[in-house]
Amino acid sequence: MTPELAEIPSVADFARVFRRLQGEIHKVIVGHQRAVEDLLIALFAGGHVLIEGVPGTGKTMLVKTLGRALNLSFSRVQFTVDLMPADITGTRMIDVTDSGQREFSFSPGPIFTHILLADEINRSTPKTQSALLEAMAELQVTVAGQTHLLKPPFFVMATLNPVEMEGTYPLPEAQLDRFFFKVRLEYPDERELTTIISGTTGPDEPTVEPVFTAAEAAQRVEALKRLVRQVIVSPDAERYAARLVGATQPSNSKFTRGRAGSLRDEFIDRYIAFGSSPRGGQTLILGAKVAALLDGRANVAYEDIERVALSALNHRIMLNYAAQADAIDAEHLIKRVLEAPALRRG
Amino acid sequence: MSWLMTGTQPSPDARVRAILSQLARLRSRVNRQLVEDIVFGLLALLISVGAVGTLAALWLNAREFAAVCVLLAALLAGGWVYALARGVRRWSTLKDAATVADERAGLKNRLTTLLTAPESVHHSPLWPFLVEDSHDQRERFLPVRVAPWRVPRTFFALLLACLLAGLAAFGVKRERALVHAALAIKPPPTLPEMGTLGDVGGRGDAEGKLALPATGDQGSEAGVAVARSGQEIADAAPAGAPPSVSLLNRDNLWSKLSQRADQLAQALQDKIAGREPQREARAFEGSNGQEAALERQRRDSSQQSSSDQVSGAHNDAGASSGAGSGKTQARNRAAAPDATTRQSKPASGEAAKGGLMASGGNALTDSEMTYGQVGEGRTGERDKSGRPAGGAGHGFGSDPEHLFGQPQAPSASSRTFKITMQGNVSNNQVSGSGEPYRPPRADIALNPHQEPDQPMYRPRIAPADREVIKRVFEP
Repeated sequence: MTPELAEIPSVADFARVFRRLQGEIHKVIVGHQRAVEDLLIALFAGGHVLIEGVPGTGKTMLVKTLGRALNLSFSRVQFTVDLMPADITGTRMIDVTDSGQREFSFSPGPIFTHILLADEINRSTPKTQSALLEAMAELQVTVAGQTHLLKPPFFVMATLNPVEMEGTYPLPEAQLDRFFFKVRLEYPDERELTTIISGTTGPDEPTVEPVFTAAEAAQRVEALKRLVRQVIVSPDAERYAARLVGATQPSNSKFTRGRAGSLRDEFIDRYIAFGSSPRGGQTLILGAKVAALLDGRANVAYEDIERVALSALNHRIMLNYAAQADAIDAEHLIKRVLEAPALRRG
Repeated sequence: MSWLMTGTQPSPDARVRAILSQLARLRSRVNRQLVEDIVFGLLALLISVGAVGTLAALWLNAREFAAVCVLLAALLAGGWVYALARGVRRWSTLKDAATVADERAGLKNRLTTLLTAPESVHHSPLWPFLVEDSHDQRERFLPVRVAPWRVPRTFFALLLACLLAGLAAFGVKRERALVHAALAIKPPPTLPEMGTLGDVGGRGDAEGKLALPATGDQGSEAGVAVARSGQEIADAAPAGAPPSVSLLNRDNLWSKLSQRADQLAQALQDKIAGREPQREARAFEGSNGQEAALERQRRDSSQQSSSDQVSGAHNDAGASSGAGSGKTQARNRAAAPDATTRQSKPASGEAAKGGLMASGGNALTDSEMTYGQVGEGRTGERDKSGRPAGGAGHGFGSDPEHLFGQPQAPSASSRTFKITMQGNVSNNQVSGSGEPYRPPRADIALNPHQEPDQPMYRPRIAPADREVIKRVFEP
């Protein structure tokens, strides 16, 4: 073992911690293996997750379980239409000091935590939604001209209810783009539902054992995140990720006109209004790095990129009306792009 | 990790060198297989083209063969260029070998990453892990495992090409056997060699005819075939112009190139089919290629014209075909049907029935004569004017002027037909003599030098035969 490797967790350590976290979460969450894995990938890649699912599928439970398993601080904000930005970030309040003087002091909001659950984020106004932007991107909050740093690790999990769209405010594209993954929670099948019913209606509720101690949890998570950044990516893999992102961009768009796309697909041109942003490429590589570590490798393979492509790109592709009319979703288009053989070695 | 078992940990550089060495061996192996593939493919292409060209030489006429040759040459050139370009494009570098190993051994880009990662990555704390991990996977990307030798697909193409070549070789062998068999036929015997033919005149053939032997059925069929061939040639020629004239008028570049291509194709066909000795045997003295042939054709054409005017009736145009151009024959038929019918002296009805007759004609003045041309006459048939069109047809040969004309050049036409004539004892009664003349039995080809694709031409007549022929044909 080289000295450099001794300073940070090894590849085997990473995989071991990851699998243990998965196990603890699945004590409570039945099914949703892919969603849980994506959640952990986004956590260790340093991103934030948007969870979409119908009510009752365990969105909030999933986030709470993750917080308990990591033994990190956890806050939950229920987004409503009257929620104000200060309710999230905190505000300045008049405080009386011991000497009797009155002065403004900053009262931190629920955002000052390690894991933040923004429940039903689309029910608040865009102004409040935007309050999360700075925190998600820069891990800091500015209130009354004063910047307050958030404690790493900072992990936002926002849930989205696709039904009951009445009175909701769909997330703007800029904010959607700031989420690392969009994870979809689907209805459990019959076997999973039976397990859920029997596990949650009995006298004993499943308990989650924290993987880290409270004192070292944040440090360990940050160390694992640093290890992810050390994973080696070949230029070929980087080009592949770039081609994937380019392939989602329609060639007839005014933002791509004049440039030969990596994949000319009439299907893409017909149904996609805007393709993935460059953040999509970053997400692909970072997510692939975590996937490589999970596989016990120190290098990114094409398979790792493909593994995370669906979760990384599906909320970054804006479909047009033709796609809605023809019931074509982003997942379908991403699978089509992934199946194009010209992308890998072209 | 293997080094833990042995207790000696190789340095990262040594492990990288070992990996690169193995990749180099893999690259050599992959490139060797590529070369094999290309060589087999090129051989298959070469042999296929040769075989197809050979078969085309045997089956097609000169013009079609020339076109096929051009296509095959283009195919060959294109195939070579494509194969070489493919070879250059697929020639493996070390990175390509790493990619191949990654894909085939399921190494998930380990080797590619190791090989192509920028220098800055070598200081990453995970770089030693990557090197060690890749080093441990060496058994998985052994050259023998990653690129096992398989029979290249092009090898099967080569086998198919060899089969095709075998077919072509069989065809060539068969064709050459036929040509050699034709060459093996003895030249026609001279008349003295044939026995008592010289006595015919002495015995006083009242009609001055010589019933050249031919069995009725065979002669009839041959006559019909030759006439049909002549008609086809006449139909194929441009209307209103004899072939020789049209040939001379085609003086543009394309025509010359086309002719030249035909000649080359013909020469190549002859070489493949083994007809060269026969061609050489038929070559005329002083012949120097196309000009001589054209000159002869022009001369023959003019002779034919004058002959038509003076004694065109001697040509049994109503039933003639064969030597010369069919066009000319057709023109003769159209020009002087009456004269043809009038001047033609058919043999007796029995003799004319499907037989070959050399009709008597004018006095012989030239030094050479031709074998009689084959006619299509049949007893009972009539020409367009309603006159009997039967009788022997001899074309030029029926006119003594043409009997001893210059030997004709082989026509450039490549129409194919074969004639085999057999001389038999005639059963005809010759009036005016006590005993019927019974010519000697002789099995001869009408013209042993006759090419399958050539109309009959006028061969040499031995001097010893000329006097006899004169006596026979002169009234």
